[in-house]
Amino acid sequence: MSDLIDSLTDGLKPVKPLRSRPLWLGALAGLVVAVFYIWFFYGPRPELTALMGGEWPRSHMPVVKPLMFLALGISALLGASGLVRPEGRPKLRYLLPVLIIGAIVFGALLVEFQHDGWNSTMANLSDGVLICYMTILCGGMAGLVVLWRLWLRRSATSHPVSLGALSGLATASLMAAAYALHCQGDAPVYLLLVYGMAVAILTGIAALLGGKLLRW
Amino acid sequence: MASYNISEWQALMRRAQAGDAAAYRVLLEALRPWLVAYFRRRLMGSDGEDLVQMTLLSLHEKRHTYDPGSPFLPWISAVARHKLIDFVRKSGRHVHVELNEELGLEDGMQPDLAARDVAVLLAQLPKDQARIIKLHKLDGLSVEEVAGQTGKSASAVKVTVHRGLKKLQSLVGIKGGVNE
Repeated sequence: MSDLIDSLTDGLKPVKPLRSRPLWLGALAGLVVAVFYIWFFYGPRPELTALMGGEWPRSHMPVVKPLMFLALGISALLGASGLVRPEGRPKLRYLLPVLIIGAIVFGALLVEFQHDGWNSTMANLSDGVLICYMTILCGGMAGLVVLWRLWLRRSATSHPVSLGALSGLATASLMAAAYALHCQGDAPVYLLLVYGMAVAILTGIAALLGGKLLRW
Repeated sequence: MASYNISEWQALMRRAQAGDAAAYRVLLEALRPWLVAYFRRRLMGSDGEDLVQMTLLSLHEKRHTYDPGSPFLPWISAVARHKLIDFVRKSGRHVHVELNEELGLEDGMQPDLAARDVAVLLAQLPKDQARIIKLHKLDGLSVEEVAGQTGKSASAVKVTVHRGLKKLQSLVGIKGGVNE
């Protein structure tokens, strides 16, 4: 045992304690890059262009939708920062925003079904589904790789699957927030089956990766 | 019961993070008997020494994850617990899990930390089951007394306790029999 202690103490180097700041700075930088990319390559939706000219849109959705995903991303990052150390424990409050927003959107979907019927509701799924999926998945995955390089690989979590899932939820949600600046699909069915599914897929992939890569 | 200067460990760990090898050596040497006691209490076997080494190695590799502004004991306890669960998962061996508020006193952990562990675990069970286990295992009531208090038969109490403990073991990643 003393050999082990000798080898651990010999040539001991200082270490930089793990802080949350790189996580938040990295997330902010990633979000800015994503917003620039969407704004200049995809273009903003017309309501937002009008809003910049001082005209508030008739529906709140052009503003609410990006903020909703931004809130999801921030809450998931908070959850991830709480799990990154060995003593961190999963808490229900990390999932509350997902549950609340999911319940609201699902409720709105039921109302829409009842009001407009199946065919009319599903017709909202026709535009831009593939590009939405690909943008959120690819952008979210790129964010996840950056998050890994900057922060996650230094973690020592007791809950690797949960930390992976929250990281995937965070990057996918932030990418969805940026993409929402362009996308005009505001119907509940679109939010649930396109945005929601893309975010859920990346969350699942990240949970699987977390289970493998975050073990120590 | 061994005594540990736990309050000193936090300062030593901070100095170790800053590269102070002498402080680090003092810390590791002080932690060793604490870890031996920690694992001996939870493992009824002779594998404690391997686990102590694995935990010290993990402490070394992950020492940057200790937050210098936080107490040290929850951090090192979580590292040790993580290594224990990992070890148990790999070996599939039987581990002694005590549901006792005194848990941890021998290894210097504060009773409130141990009690919090127990409370967190019990909260995972249905209310009735948690209550029965608390009455029987924590409050020390006999099976008959618990039966009297809860209005269940003695055999139902025994079954509830057995199943509850099994579930608690699975929650902490332990396979194998149940010590009742």
